[in-house]
Amino acid sequence: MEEYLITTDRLTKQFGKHKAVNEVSMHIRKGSVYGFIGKNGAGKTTFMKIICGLANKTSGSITAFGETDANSANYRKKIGCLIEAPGIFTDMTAFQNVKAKCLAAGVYSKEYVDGLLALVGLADVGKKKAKNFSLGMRQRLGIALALVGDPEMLVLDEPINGLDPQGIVEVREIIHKLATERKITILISSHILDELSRIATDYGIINNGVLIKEMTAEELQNACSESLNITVDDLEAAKRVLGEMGITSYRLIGENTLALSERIDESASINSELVRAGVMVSELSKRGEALEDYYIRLTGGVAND
Amino acid sequence: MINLIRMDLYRMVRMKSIYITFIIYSFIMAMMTSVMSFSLSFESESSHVPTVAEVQEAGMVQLLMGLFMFIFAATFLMSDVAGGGFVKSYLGQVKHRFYRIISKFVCLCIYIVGFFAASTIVQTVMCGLFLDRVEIGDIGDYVVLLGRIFVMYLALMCVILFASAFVKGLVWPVIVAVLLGMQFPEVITMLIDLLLKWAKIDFSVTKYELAHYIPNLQLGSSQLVLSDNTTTDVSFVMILAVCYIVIFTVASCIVYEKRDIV
Repeated sequence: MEEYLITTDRLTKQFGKHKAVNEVSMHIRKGSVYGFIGKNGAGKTTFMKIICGLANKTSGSITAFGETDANSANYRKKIGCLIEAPGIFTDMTAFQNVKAKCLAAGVYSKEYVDGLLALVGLADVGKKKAKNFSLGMRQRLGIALALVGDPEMLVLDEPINGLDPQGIVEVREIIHKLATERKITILISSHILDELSRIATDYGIINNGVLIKEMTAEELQNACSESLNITVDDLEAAKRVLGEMGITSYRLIGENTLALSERIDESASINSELVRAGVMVSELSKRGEALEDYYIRLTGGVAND
Repeated sequence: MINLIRMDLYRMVRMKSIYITFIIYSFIMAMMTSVMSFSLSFESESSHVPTVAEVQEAGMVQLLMGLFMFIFAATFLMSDVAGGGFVKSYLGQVKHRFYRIISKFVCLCIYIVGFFAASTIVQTVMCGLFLDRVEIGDIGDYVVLLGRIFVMYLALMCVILFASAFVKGLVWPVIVAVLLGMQFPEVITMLIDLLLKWAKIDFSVTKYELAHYIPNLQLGSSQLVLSDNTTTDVSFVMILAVCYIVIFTVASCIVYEKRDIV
């Protein structure tokens, strides 16, 4: 059985008549990097704010770290967050910002602050005020603030939004380090799907406040990768022929349809071998789409419903 | 809660505006004391040279002090909301959001006491420099006067605290602070009183407007003499101030607990 760190059950947030988050039931596995995908206004930030305790829900429930809403204070203190722009005092240095947060969390020591700043690559900024930081430096400072108190989970809302390629790489490496070395569960939203696909192990796609799909990275890979789909009358015979051809990487996607993920450019010879073996091929097509295309198809589908 | 207070105090002493407001206030105090010294030089030798407590008693001093403190209070209250929005980085992890309000309240109390202490030192120095005499006056009366001003300032800061609980930007709390410091609410309440009088309703809203009592607190007196030469018991004003503190602080806590942090 999967061990979920956070599950929500029909979580809803309503502003007047508008449901910004509409009955979202999300499942975040412990130790995962959960990529939260959705266009602007889809409800990502609102959902994340509710999880972090910065916004109140209208209905539904959250179970996190084995605690229910009734004891939300117990789990909220285990969640660090970076929501929208980094929440920093711009007239203070990186050290002073982290010290302020440490004082609030009751964990201040100079070594602790220095350690956090070193982790996010801000150990050498000295007395430079945060208002003079680049966006990438601010984002990293925001992550350092989120890490104060050693949370077991991080909620990062668009942490790479607006960053230059170098900044994106730096933030990605920090997130990767936190997930792998510190075993921190991360809920991260981003518009840059390609970037998200490099770090996420799980995905949730939200559109118009509705969570329309949850899947693992593997499932998404399968859904997005190119394949040669063959529909045949005799599945077992087709499998035998493919085996004789040395093709072993395929999966069943329909009653009589196989999706081949290797030698997909050899459709003519594969078709010829199947026919020669007496297997009737009723359909043979090459399929595949990029993550962006898949996302657009999913969200567009819902929007058109 | 204690940790939040520590953080807020750390933030407070790191704010430039705490020093800027006090420096400007000190400069104006120096100007006022020098003018006082100049006017005394034209009077006979037997004329009374004011003590530090009597300088503090002056209505203009109380008004000025209030104005600067209210403006700083507004900037302090919004410092973690406006700009970077530092509040987002810690408030979710706090047991109850209203702890932030309580923490700010405690910090404002400490700020007022600190300002009074610094102000007394500045006034003492100014008296020594310009009036050639350094005398605090009746210590008991001075402490009581400062205590009363403390309660009134705190009450009006709670109004600013309440205003700050609704907004994200710095502008509105500062406007509220300036209006309170300049006693603008009295203009409104006097207009309301005129309307009530016109409607033949025997009720005064101005009586319950706190800001206009500020410049009338006096040393060693249990009565306030208002600008229209009417008198009011200090005890009534203190009870009114305590009601302001309780009502606006509790209301701020409720608002902050219910609203979303944006």
